[in-house]
Amino acid sequence: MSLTLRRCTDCGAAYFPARLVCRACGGDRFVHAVEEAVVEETTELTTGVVVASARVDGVLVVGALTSPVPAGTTVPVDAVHGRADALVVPDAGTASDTDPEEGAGHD
Amino acid sequence: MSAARIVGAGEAAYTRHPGPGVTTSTLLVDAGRQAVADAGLRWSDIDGFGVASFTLRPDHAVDLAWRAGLGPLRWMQDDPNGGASGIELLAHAADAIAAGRARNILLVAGDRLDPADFTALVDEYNSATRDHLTPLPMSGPNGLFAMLTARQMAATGLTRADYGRLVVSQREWAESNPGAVYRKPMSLDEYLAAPIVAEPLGRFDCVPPVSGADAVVVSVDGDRPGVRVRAVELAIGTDDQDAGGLVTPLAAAAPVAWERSGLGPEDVDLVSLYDDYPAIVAAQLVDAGFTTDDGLAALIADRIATHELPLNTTGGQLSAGQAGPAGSMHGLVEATRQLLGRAPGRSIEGARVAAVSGYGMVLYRYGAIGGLAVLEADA
Repeated sequence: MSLTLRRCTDCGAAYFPARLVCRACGGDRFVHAVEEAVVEETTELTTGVVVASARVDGVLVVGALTSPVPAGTTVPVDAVHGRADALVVPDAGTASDTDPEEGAGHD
Repeated sequence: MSAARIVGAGEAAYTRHPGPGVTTSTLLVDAGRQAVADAGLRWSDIDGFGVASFTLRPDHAVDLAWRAGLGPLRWMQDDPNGGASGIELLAHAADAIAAGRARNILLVAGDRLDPADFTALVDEYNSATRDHLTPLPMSGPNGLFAMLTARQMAATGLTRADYGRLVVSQREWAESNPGAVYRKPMSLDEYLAAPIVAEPLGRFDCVPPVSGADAVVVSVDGDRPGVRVRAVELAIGTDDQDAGGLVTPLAAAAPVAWERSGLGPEDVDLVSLYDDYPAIVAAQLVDAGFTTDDGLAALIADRIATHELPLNTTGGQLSAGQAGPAGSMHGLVEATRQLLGRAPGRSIEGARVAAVSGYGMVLYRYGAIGGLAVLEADA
């Protein structure tokens, strides 16, 4: 598994979470693109969960780490918990919600 | 200039432990009846009704109006927009008054929030939260605003002590607000020593969830004493949640509100800024134009901590509590009371102009709606 951004097929703008219409160009078709993340901030919740803010190809996402890392660290991203070194960005909708093969348009 | 006036304000007492007969509906109606009485109006004079609540379901404004014996009505609005709903409802109501759609509009906002209600609300706040944040697992926005605060500290040089001076200043105001849940004096050392909730946020950077409601009556300009709505402006979705959240939508709304009101930050006698977290108060101080070249830390230390610029004079949500979207109307209620000379014990002498902000609806990382109302008392 990995984390998949949604990339507008018309203009290339990247999004997470998924959008219905591209804010940059008005397009409504997206492809999935796998990326890695650069951590910008972390904080630890009272539950012990380490939450991180990270940039994935320009997009700011929120994920969980198994332990804090310094700002600027590049980490792999994953949509499900499992790998110790990965930033987990929950995304149960990866497979179905904007797959262009399944038709994102309404015409 | 808008023809609308706020002529009355009310608040159903905030409490952490509501009694068994207290429901969201009873709180909203309690606040509404206080506001109508404060305006010197009869319940039957109300011909417009707006509601903001997270926990009214399955009812809506029309159900609450029916159960509350309101009507017939000519205008109605359900507003689901949390911390921005008070300003948003005021904007819609002012437009409706100007268009002749109603003469006396009652706006209410609030919730009965038990711990289970609160968890359900924050875990399913929207689809992005439900699908991408709650599974981290993370419940509620503290982690998001901890990271936003860290980002603001890095960008501005603000320290925990600077945020503490804001929070302590609001606590000083709360001492003279019998409705605040935190009223005990607090020192900066106590603020700094509080348990960490999510670094760099401590306990006193987070609002205490309470049950309660706020209400105002917006009426057509007439003989009745009231507060003129000089301007009310909103901005929505001014960025795409990618910019870090240090500039709020208020940066787009405030210049328009100042221009339309013919007033500016220098004319303001008191200000109510939406205070879910101190960092958001700090961001809005910049966005609304209150900072000078001296910067935020100096503004906080020299003008806010000294009460020269009265900010959140009930103690704000950080001391009074957050009753769901009641927090979005709390500042309007306080500004109205101050400008009409109805805030005993904390009255600001000669106050004529107030600015009130709203901020809310965290889409994924931070709030997407901001707004500013500029209110003026009669000479």
